[in-house]
Order: sequence, then C-alpha cells, then structure tokens
Amino acid sequence: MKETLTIMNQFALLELKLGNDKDESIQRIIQRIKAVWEGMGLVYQLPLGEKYTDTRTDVMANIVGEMDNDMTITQIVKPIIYQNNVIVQQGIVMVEAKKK
Amino acid sequence: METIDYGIDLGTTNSLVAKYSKGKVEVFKNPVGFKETLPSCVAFRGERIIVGDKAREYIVKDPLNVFSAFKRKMGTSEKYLIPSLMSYYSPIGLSAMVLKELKNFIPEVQKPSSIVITIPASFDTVQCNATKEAGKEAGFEEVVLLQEPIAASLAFFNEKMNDAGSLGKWLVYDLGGGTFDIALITIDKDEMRVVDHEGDNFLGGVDLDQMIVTQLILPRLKEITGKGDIDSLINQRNGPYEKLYYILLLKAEEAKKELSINETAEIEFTFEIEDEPAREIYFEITRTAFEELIAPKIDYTLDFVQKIFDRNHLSSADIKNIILIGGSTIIPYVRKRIGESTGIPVNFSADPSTAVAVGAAYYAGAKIKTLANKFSEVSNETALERDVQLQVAYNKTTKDMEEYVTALFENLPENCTYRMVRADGGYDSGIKNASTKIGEFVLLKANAVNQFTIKVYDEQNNELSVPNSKIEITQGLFSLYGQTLPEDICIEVDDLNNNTTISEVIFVRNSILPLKKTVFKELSRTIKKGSTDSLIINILEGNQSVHPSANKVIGVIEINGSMLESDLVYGSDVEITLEISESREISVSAVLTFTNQTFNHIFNPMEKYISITKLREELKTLRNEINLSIEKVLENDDYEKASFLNELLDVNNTLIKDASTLRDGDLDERKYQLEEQKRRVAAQFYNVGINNSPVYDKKEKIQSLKLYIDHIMTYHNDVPETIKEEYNIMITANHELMKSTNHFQLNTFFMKLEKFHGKMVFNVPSLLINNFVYMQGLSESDFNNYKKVKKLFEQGEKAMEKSNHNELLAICKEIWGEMKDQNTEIEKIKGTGLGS
Ligand SMILES: Nc1ncnc2c1ncn2[C@@H]1O[C@H](COP(=O)(O)OP(=O)(O)O)[C@@H](O)[C@H]1O
Ligand SMILES: [Mg+2]
Repeated sequence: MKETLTIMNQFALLELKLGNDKDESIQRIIQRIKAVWEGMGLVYQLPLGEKYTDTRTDVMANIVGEMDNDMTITQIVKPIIYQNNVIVQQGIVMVEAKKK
Repeated sequence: METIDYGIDLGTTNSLVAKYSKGKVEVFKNPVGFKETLPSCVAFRGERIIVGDKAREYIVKDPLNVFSAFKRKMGTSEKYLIPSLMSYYSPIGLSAMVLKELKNFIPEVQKPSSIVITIPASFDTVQCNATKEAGKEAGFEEVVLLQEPIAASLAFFNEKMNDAGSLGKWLVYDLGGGTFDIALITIDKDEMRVVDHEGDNFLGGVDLDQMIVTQLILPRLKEITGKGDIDSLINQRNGPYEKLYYILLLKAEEAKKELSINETAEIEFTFEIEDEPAREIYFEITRTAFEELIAPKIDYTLDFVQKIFDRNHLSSADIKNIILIGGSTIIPYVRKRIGESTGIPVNFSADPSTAVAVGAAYYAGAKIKTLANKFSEVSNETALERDVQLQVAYNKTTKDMEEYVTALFENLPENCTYRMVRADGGYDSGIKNASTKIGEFVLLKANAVNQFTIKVYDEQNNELSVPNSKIEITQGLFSLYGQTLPEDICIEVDDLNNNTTISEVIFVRNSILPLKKTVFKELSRTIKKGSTDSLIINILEGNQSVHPSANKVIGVIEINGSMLESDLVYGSDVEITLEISESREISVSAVLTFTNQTFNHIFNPMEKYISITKLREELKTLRNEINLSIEKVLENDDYEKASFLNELLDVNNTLIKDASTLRDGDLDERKYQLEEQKRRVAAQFYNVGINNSPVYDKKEKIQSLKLYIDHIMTYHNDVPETIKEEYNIMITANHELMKSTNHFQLNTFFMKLEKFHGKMVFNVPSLLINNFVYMQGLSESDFNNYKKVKKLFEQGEKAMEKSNHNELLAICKEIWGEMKDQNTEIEKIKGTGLGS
C-alpha cells in the first residue's frame, strides 16, 4: 500500500508538471493509468486553485504571505488520495491570499 | 479487578494515545488523516477551536491565536491571552484540549475514565499536579503519571523485565522534534527508577531541517541562480522568498528522512520569483555532507551524557545499554556516533516515535483502577434526563461547493460543545460552543454524496447520543430532478474463451442523466490495414445480463480495415467515451491509441443503426447456440422444447439466407426488418425458459463444480488442511459474487473455481488417481498420440503401485497434454474485436 501511494504521489506530480496543454496522447495515458487505480478504489486529487479554509482537513497547508478571508491553494507538494471514498493521505499544499 | 489499559504520551511537539489489550499494545490513529501523532498545538480561529495538524498550519501566520509547546510552561502561572475570545487560557487548559482531542482517536464508544499520562523526568511536583489537573479537565477521573524514560524502557523490554541480563543501569536518549532529554535509570528485580536526567528544551529534528536549508540548500541555490541576497531574505515574513522557504523546509525534512535510508537524497523544486520565468532546480545532497553538518549538534548532546557520568561517578562500563527514542534517533549517524563515542551498546529495537506511548499503555495494562467503574451509574443518570433532540435544515442537493446547515437543539445540557465532520475526513468544523441554534458552512466534495455527522459533547467531553445527527448532501452531477435511464446501456465485448460475446454494462438502469464515462478496452484480435475485417463498437440498450443479440442496438461504430492508417494490433488500447445528454442523445468517441485515430459519432435515439456485418455474425452465433440447446434438451428427453427450438432454428436459417443478400448502401428497409426479426428470435430463445442464457449457464456450471468440490472435501480423507482452508476463504470471500447476475463477475469466479479444482487434482493423491483412471477409460480418439498415451498409462500403473504421487502427477501432466480439445468442432465466432 505504501508503495502504491508513493507511485501515485509521483505520478500526480508528473501530471501537474505536464501542465494543462499536454499532448492528447499523453493525456490519454494519464487517464488510463488513473482508471486502473480507480478500479482499485484509489483516486488522487489535485486541488490547485481551490479555495482554502481552516475547516478543510483534506489538505495540510503552508500559508504564504498575508492571511485574509479569501485564501487559494497555489501549489501542491502532495496530492490528496482517497481509497474507497475515504481520505488515506492528506494533501500538502501552499496557500496564498488571492491577489487583489 | 480492572486495569487502566489506556496510556497517553503528552509530548511537547507531538502526542499519542495507545491501548493495552491481551498482551498487545495498539497505537490509535487520528480518524482524520490516519496519523498516529497529534501535534500538541491549539488554535483559536474566530469562535472555533482547532487542535492538531490544522492548528499547526497557523503557527507562523497567526501566532497570536495559535499555541504550541505549552508543555514547557506547565506548572507556571503563565496565562495565554486569546485575542479572539478576549479571555485567558492556562497551559493546563491547552493541554486538556489536546487530551480531549486524543480521546477522539479512541474508537470505542465508551471512552476510558482512567488514564496513564507520561511526563518528562524533569517535572517537579507542581508540574506533575498541573498535568493531573489537565487530565481531569479533559474528563478523566483518574490520572496516573509515568516518567517518559521509564515508559520508553517498558516498551523496550516489557517482556524481558526479569531477565537478569537487563538488570543494572541504563541510559534513555530521547531526541525528538523540538526537545532533547537524557535520563539515567536503574532497573532491579522489582523496580525501575530514574536516577538522574539532563536535557535541552530547544534542540531537535526541526533544527536539523533548518540547518539543511541554510547550509546545504541555499549555498547551492545561490550558485545556480546568482542571487546573492537569498540568505538574508529567505526567512523574512512576507518577503519574496517566503513561499520558497516553507517549501524548502518540507523538502529538507523529506531529504533528511531519505538520507536515513540512502546515501544521497534529491532536492528538486521550482524556483519562482516575481517578474522572472520559473526555473526547475535539481541537485543532490549526500549523507556525508549531512553528517558533517549535524556532527557538532550530536556532540553537543553527548556533553550531557558526560555531565551525568561525572555527577554520578560513572563510566561507560557501568551502563548496560543506551535506549534511543524520538524520531531523530532514526538517523544512522546518531546511532553510530552515540555508540562509538560512549562505547555503550545502542538499542533501537522499537519504533522511536511511539515507544513512550506504547510503554505507557503497557504500564496501564498492569495498573489496577482504583476508581470503581462508574459506567453503569452514569448511564442510569442520563436515562433520567430528557434526551437531546436535534432538528437539522439544509439543502439535500446542490451545485455549490459549500452548503449552510442549521440545527436546532432541545434539552441541551449546559456548556456543551459540538463539532461537524465529513465521513471521508475532508472537513472538520472544529470544536464550537453549542447553543440552541447553530449554523455552519460545510465544505463539499465535488460530484459525491457527502455524509456529515454532528457530534455533541458534554462538559467532560463525553459524546452524547443525539438522534438525526447524520446528514447527507449530494454535490454536483446528480440532480434530483434529472431524468433517469430506463434500461442498462452496454457495449458488446468478446468472450472468446466461451466462443460468444457479452454485454458489458456502462451505465446502469436508473442512473440520472446526463452521463459520461470512459472505458479502456484491448483489441482481441489484429485488424489489418486495408482488409475488410472490422472493429465493431456496438452500443446496446437493454439488460446487462442477457446476450447482446437480445438487446437493442442504439449505436454502432464500425471501423474497417480501409479506414485504418496502419494495422491495428492485438492487445493495443481502444478508449471509448460514451456520453448521454439529458435529451438522450448519445455521443460515442473511440480513440485507437495505436494508430492515433479518433472516431466520433453522435447517435440520435430516434434513428436506428444497423451494421450488416454485425447482423450476419449475430445470426451465426444464434444458430450455434440454438443447436447446442437442442442437443441439451434432447438429452433430457424434452421433445416439446426441442421442436420449439427447431422452429426457431428454421426461422433463423431463413434470416441467415436473407442477410447474405444484403449489401452496404442498400436503400430499402430490409436490413431494419431483418434486425427486428433477429432480435425477436434472440429474445424468444434467451427468455422462453430454455435457460441457457450466458448468465444462467454460468451459474449452473459454478453450482455443479462447487458441488463436486464440496463432495471431494467431504469424502476424500487425504485433502491437505491448507487446501481446505484456501477453499473456505475463497467461498466466503466470493459469497456475494455467486448471487450476481453479471456475466463478467460470474465468469471470473468460475475461472477461479476451475483453477482451484486444478490445484486440488495436483495436491490430493486420491483425486489424481481418480483422474488417471478416468482417462484410462477414454477412447483412442480422445487423444492426439494414442501410442504415447498407452505407454504413459503403463508407467502410471507402476507409479500407482509404488504410491508415488509425484511421479504419477508428472505422467498425468503428459497425458493431459495429449488430450484433444473438445470444443474444436464448434465453429469459432469472430467477435467484435473488443476484448473483455
Ligand atoms: N526517518 C527519519 N529520519 C530522520 N528524522 C526523522 C525520521 N522520522 C522522523 N524524524 C524526525 O523526528 C522528529 C519527530 O520526532 P518525535 O519523537 O515524534 O518528536 P517529539 O517527541 O518532540 O514530539 C521530526 O523532526 C522528524 O523530522
Ligand atoms: Mg517525545
């Protein structure tokens, strides 16, 4: 199990690194691999750009810069991993106030 | 007499709770995030109180409202002002919050009333009393204290306590996240005692992380980027490198742990500052460099050992062992250096992060409760009180990512707190004061049914049982008023092992529209470029458990050889995305990853799509199956059914003839008529009680194979126990599967059973003999090379006389190899090209 999580972590970061404009065929391979994990009940999530509040326990946050009421996840160090719809690994993220 | 059983390591940086039961200790995990350790940290955010990991996030950014390391202040008159509440908390109050949170780690509904809590060897009477007080405030009625080095020692040799070799003087060296402690203990026959201790409250793993950043990472980074000002700016609050600093601290801790296993660790991150393009930084740090870096710190800890020696007039020779605990003692250099420099054997046989909690639980497991068990009284009392009532209002479905939940309490006792948590662990409201009316914005997971529980605690932090405290909110996708799918939507895939095709369900009946799903299939045969062969993606509507030909075709994509850019190779991937809109329009897109071709089709449910190739193929399959059924019913002398089947066969044969004259591009309606007639024949055949639908067939096969195996289990007395066990496990594990109506799952199970049967023949001597004798009874035509087989029979006889199981097995294997495949006479179907 630990090994699987390690592979998923690395793979999630790879997906992030490839960014949004990845080649269609690469996108497809990514989806295919994720589908295999999904069959095992494992799903990872990259909450990049999502709103952050202190009631979110799906991630552990490092707060960067000034704090205010409108915080956003700006960088991901580790993804959130679910197993059978329960979080087995909290994500590790950087959180910043929205730039005005 | 009852024992206490529960123990808590109330640490400066991290706390844990463990339980002793039947000779074993279990360390409990946080129900959120599943970590064993809870950071000893409390945050006050507005009206809510947060304990643990979440609280720690705010240490740097909201220092006025976040409190940690208060253990260092236990027993002082120090008060912490909580600005948001305009009130004060004592170190005792804060410790109590941590203890209460740890209570939530304990899965048992009935929380313990007695507890063992560990304290540093350095704690004086006032500090001890303060710790007890914290325990009481957290709702423990009986608090027993235990010194940390003693707890650690207990964890190490709990089982060998009376072992003469362990009697004498020991050192316990504890290097954790933020503190360093060393204790000298004596162990004699019936006592373990701390004789002396030393320590530094501000030295631990966190300092090592910082050193890695400033002394190993930053110099390299300066070199690579040419930015000379990083040093001075890096840990400046709100400075340009603040984010980088946090990332580097995380990377440093990761690398540090990596270096506990490997010789080198990678440092990899993105260097980003405003107005400059981001760049990827990568380099390695070596264990050697790390060891050089931390050597002075470790030597510094050894000075304390010397102090203890001097004060007690001891030398290394007087010490039996040094026990290492605390996460930082995992570092190989620490282990090596301490051993080498003191010359004392080093012991690190238990998990250094949990040893104190584990030891506390061992101690608790032997400690008799002085407190009478009050559980029964308590429950009588509460029964007299009126139960708490709860009414909750919220939207059951939403497209938003958060939802406001309000709740009204009745009969709520004084000073209760409440907390809302999401079942998957992704949301926690924190602890809040409960009043008659409460309201909370809960966060939702996208496209899921979100389950929440409202937990209510009394003043002693005992959870009250509250009816209606579970709520469910559905986010996204599932709109409550959406249209539902009237029948299963399937694609047809090959089951070449059984010489047929099956319906594989994509969307089940009653799913709510719109729907979208992508499946991946592998080609079950090669399709040559330019050939007339084709890959058929057949979208069916109907029932997933019947044969595809009895289902309605609602869309088909036929990709033939002439459309291919290169050969489509066996085993390559086909990605099929199926989308059904709310108006039931179906779009199918198929991507052949091997040739990188995409085929998109939108099917309107008002039209019909018929592939002539497919139609012919299906009629052929139908003919085979009807033929087989006729044989079967004749075996049972069921002439009535046989004649009915013969009629169907006649109809089918006419259809085959008609279909052979169809041509692509024919404009008339003939193919629609033929398709309709075929479906009618199929439906009659599969539904009229002939009962050889693929599902029924499989079930029957499974049933009879299972009966056979059961029989062997009961009547053969040479079945090894391991085989019996394996069988029982398999049957229990697949109990639900056997009731399934899904051909797919049944097939998987059948294959498992068959495989197991094979294994039995290998492992049960009497069964192998049966099998051998059975083969001897077969006729010549059942084998390929009968001459060879006859010789093998002779050899087998001899092996049997000698009761040589292995030899007989080897012979049988050869005979099996010569047996003819019984299915060869049946005409093989070609299938769709999609593997199952
Ligand atoms: N494998 C490892 N190698 C090196 N250091 C480690 C390892 N695992 C944990 N640590 C360090 O141990 C420290 C935590 O130790 P712990 O005993 O839990 O702390 P405390 O007793 O102070 O609450 C952290 O600084 C962590 O980085
Ligand atoms: Mg500790």
